[in-house]
Amino acid sequence: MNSLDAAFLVFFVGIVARVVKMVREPKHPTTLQIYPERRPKWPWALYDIFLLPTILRHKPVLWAFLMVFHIAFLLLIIGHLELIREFTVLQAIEHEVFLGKGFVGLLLSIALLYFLFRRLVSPNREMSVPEDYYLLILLFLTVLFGSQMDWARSWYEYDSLSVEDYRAYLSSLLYLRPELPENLTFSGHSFMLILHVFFANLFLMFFPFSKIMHSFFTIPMNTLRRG
Amino acid sequence: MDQKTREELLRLFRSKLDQAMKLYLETCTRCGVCYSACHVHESMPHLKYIAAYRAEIVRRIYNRYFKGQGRIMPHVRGADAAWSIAHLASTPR
Repeated sequence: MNSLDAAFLVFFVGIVARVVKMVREPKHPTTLQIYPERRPKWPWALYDIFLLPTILRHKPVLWAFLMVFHIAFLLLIIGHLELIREFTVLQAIEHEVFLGKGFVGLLLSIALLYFLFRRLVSPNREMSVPEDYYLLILLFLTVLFGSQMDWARSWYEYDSLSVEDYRAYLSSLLYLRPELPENLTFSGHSFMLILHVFFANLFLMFFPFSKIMHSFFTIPMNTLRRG
Repeated sequence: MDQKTREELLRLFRSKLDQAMKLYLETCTRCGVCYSACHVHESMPHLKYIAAYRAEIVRRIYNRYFKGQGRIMPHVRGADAAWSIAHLASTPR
């Protein structure tokens, strides 16, 4: 079956298009730096982006959940790398399919639920737009089905699936020509895989057109603030 | 508002959209830290003293008229220009 994977295509093309478009916009004529600083611009901007000092100062609880969220996300991305092809350095700790065994995903789900409920009960609710809720719910469903796939394997006693089958599927998706191995569809927990991929695809398609592009845009933005 | 004024205003808006403006309009995640960070809001908790609220007034017009999404599915980003106009009218000077 020679079909084209739409979600990853939209994801890659969308991100590249938006980043290129943003970089090519006309620059602001004056500086947006508030105080003249003698600190070097780039390390300071990266510190702002990755350690979120302002949020730590004003809302430490939110900061903690944000760090858990982003670190868990990063770990999951690294974990998915293994599902593309073998990386011997990642097998430093022996494991079967996923290093976290579902616990990293669980932490991520807890952080997502915290963000969602925080948004729902906030006294300033009218600030939120539908996009905020959609993204959180979509991501929550993706992470739920993805992280519990590993546990579902043992519930349905289908340990026969090896990492090779997952690899064949995910790498075929990334090369934009999806091919589904038979083993995966006939196993008991295939519904989790399918739902996970479905929600992940929706999320990937939504990515370039939503506020999550702040993941790429904060880099030029923080250098603006730091001169 | 007649057509000519509308086009004039949209052209004025577009002339202000440089890289910095677009970055700030795109990256706001409505996280809520600017409510606690602003000492004015801490002392008088009104909507009009929230930085994100003020930016949102501009952002909704930006999303409605200057993004493809604003024309096809404005609901997603809350791209409601009428909301902006209503809130501008009610914000006292």
